[in-house]
Formats: sequence, C-alpha cells, structure tokens
Amino acid sequence: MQPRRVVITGVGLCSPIGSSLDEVMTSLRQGRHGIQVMPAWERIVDLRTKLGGVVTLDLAGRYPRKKTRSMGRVSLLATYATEQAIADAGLDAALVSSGAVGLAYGSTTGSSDAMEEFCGTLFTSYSLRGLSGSSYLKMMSNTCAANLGQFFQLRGRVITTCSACTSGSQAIGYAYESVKYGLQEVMVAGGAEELHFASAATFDLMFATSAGFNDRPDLSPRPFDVRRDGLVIGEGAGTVVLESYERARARGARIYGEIVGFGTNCDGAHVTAPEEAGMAEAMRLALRDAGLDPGAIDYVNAHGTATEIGDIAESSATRRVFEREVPFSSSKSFTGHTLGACGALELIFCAGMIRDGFLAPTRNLEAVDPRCAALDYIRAPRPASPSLIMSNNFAFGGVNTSLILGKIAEAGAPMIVGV
Amino acid sequence: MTRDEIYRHIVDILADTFELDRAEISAESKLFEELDLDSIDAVDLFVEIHALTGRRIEAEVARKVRTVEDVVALVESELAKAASA
Repeated sequence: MQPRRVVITGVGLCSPIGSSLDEVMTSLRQGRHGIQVMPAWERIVDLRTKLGGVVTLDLAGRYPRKKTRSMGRVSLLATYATEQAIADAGLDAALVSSGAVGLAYGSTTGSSDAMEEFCGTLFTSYSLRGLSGSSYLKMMSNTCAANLGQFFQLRGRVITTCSACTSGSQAIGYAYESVKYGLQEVMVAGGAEELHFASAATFDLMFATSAGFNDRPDLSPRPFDVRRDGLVIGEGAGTVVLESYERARARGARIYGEIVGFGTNCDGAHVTAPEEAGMAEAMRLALRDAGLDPGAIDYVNAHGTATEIGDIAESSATRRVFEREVPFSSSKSFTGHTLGACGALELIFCAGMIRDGFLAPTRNLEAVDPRCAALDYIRAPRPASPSLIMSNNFAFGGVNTSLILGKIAEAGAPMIVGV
Repeated sequence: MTRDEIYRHIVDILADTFELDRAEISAESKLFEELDLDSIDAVDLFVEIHALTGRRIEAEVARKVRTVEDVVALVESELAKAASA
C-alpha cells in the first residue's frame, strides 16, 4: 500500500495564552503572555521558582460526574481540548465510536493532586482508609488516554505516549504514522499537563527553573536570552485530528496543514542533559521522512525552554542541520513549559501561523546568549507566508522529536508532492 | 445513631458523593438501576461507610446491597458490631 498523506482537520486546545486557536493567535501576535505569580507555592519549603503558566478556563461542572470522576485536572484539560478538536474537525459521533478513529495521547504523569490523595495516605499511614476508588485512575500514567477513550467512546487503537516533554509531539508523530501506513482511518492525538508544584519542584531541584524574576512574571521565561535563568512550568492541552488527505478532501473538511515528516530518536546518553547530536539527528530524520532539504524549511519552532544547557544544545543542533540562519523562535516564552502538552500546543500554534501568515517571536529575547548558535532569532511578530514549518521537542530520557508541517494550497492543490 | 439518623447520613453521602438530587433518593431507591451508581461508585460508597462505621465491609456482604435501605441496615449492623467489639 502507498503511504497516505496525512492532514490536520481539527484542532483544540487550552493554554495559558488562550483556549481557542483565535485567542492564542491574538496572544502570539500581541505579545500577551500567560505567566503568573503562584502565591500558593510560597508554602513549599525551598521551592525557588514562584511562576507558573496557568489555564484560566473554568471547567467545573462542564461535564457529567460519571464521565469525569476518574479525571484529574490533566485529563479534564485533555478532554476540553479534544472536545474542541473533534467538533472543529466535524467528526460525527457515529464515526468517532465506529472503530475507525484511534487515539494517541500523553502527559508526563497522571494528576499530581490525585497522587497526593492516593500516595499521601498510603505511603505515610500505610492504610487504605479513606482512599477513593478513582484516585488511581486519575494518577496513572495513561490517565489522559484512558479517560478520553471512555469519554468520547473511541474504539480504535490507543497509543499512550508518556515521554515527558515529548509526550504531545510523539503522540502526534505516532498518530501520523498510524494514518500514513493505513493502520487507522482517523487519529485523535495530543498531549496535556496540569500545573502543580510537584512538577515545578522536579525542575527546581535540578536548578532548571527560573527564580530570578519571581516578582516580574512578564520577564520570564527568556529562551536564548543572555539573562535567562531557567524554565517556568505551565499547563494546558492540545489535540489535533489527523486523517488522510484523500479522506479530508472527499468530505470537504477544512485542512489546517499536512504533516509531511516526523522523526524521533533517543540520545542514548544522559538521562537529563540534552545531546546536540541526537537533536540534530531527529531533525534529519524528519526531513528525510518528508523528502525535504533543510533549505525548504521556512521556520523552526524551537523547544526553547530557557535552560542554559538546553538552549545552547538546541540552537547548535539547529544550526548544524540548517547551516544557515533559519527563522527560529520559542513559544514557551508565552506559555511557559507545558511539559506533556507543549509538543501538541506548539504544533497547533504553527498551524495557526500558517493560517494567519505570521511568525510568532520569542518574548523577552533582548540579547541572544553568545554561546547560542547563529540563527535568525525572531524577536517581534513577523509577517510571513510559511509553507513548511519544523516543530521540535526534546525530553528527559534523551527522547527527541521533530515534526514538519506543510501548508495546503487554497485550491486544494498540495504544496508538497510527497515521497 | 438512630436508624433515622443513619438514613439521613446515607442520603447526604449519596447526594454529596454522586451529585444526586436528595428528592430522588428514598429508602426503596435501587442504587444501581435507579440512582445509576456502578462498580466504581460502589467502591467509593463503601469507603464512606468504612469512615462512618470504622469497619471494613467484606466483599460478599457489599455485593448483597441493592437499595438505600440495604445500606442503612448494613451500617446499623456494622455500628452495632463496632459497639460490641
């Protein structure tokens, strides 16, 4: 069977800078960030960072109890994004539950609040007294996929991608492969994360969080800037609906773009320190999958977390692959690092940039760290007509992902002939 | 606790835990067919009963519970056992 071309026909999201595509695109264009001071974190002894990227959407009472009793916040955010994406794609309920629609979804972990509920009791008092039957369902690693499956009555394949900060991008990559190779007609794919001091603490312990701007949420994170001092944790969820180009055309679906390439690999080296060579190889794998030369890419959406070692390694890897000053920016300067959600959110941002004809900048990038490689660092919204965008993400465990998104011409004629 | 007090307590638990309307709950209400509880809800109901009686309910006893009245009777008997223990 010929590999099928795979397109995005639905997007849904909730993020610190908005919970619809239009809202986030306005934020990206106007430089509106979603970082807040977290007063509740003051009580956590020794936690240095006090900033978070918060989703302000009110989800209380939005869904029936029986459908949400096994959901912590991370699953609720994923449900909201997925509900939007399925509606946006115009998939009817009969198709969704027919078995033709599969699911690929991830988050770094399950709900931290549920972990506190379950482990806090069990691990300190060694008692089941007071433990709820649903705590585990909220905290298990596959909680998003499990809950989305039952909520939307999805009956196709389930791929649970819990690979830290590549959870969202891997889900989309594996969903793309599922459709491309005819394993599934339609895939719902994405990633989610809930903001919790537990994830802030993880990075704080490694001195990877921003702690020098705790009273100025507008000034951090600062990816690639010489004054950056680490990442700001955020939350959110992003979901896309993927299907074959032919199917989308046949049903007259709106197409946001075509996923033309995906590469993923593992550094096989350090568990947390990124490797320039592994990152570069993931980008090359995606280019090879797309049958493209690096010169064809109009813009690279960086992982760009604002950690010293990550920024330097990523910019160097990007320069190594592109051998030119390719346009480059990090959306995390707006949202903070949304961990399991970031790969999905950032790919949706890229689809929005193709739709709206501009490239979003890196906020707070005043002076590029001289140790970062020479690239075209975008510092203000830039009018553009990008046809091919690469979105990169990197995770603990040395997992690297690179997705390439292509524009579909208005008339329906593909920009990319495919390979 | 009188039987009446136990009943009111159980109604509170059902209403608060499962977002049920108090008006739709009666002693005869069938937990699964009428109040739409299921196996996961039952686990949470027995967690609440454990908290109320201080006694962990055995699975074979729990499985026999069908109505709100059954729950009240179970709690009454468990409280009596707890008092005589």
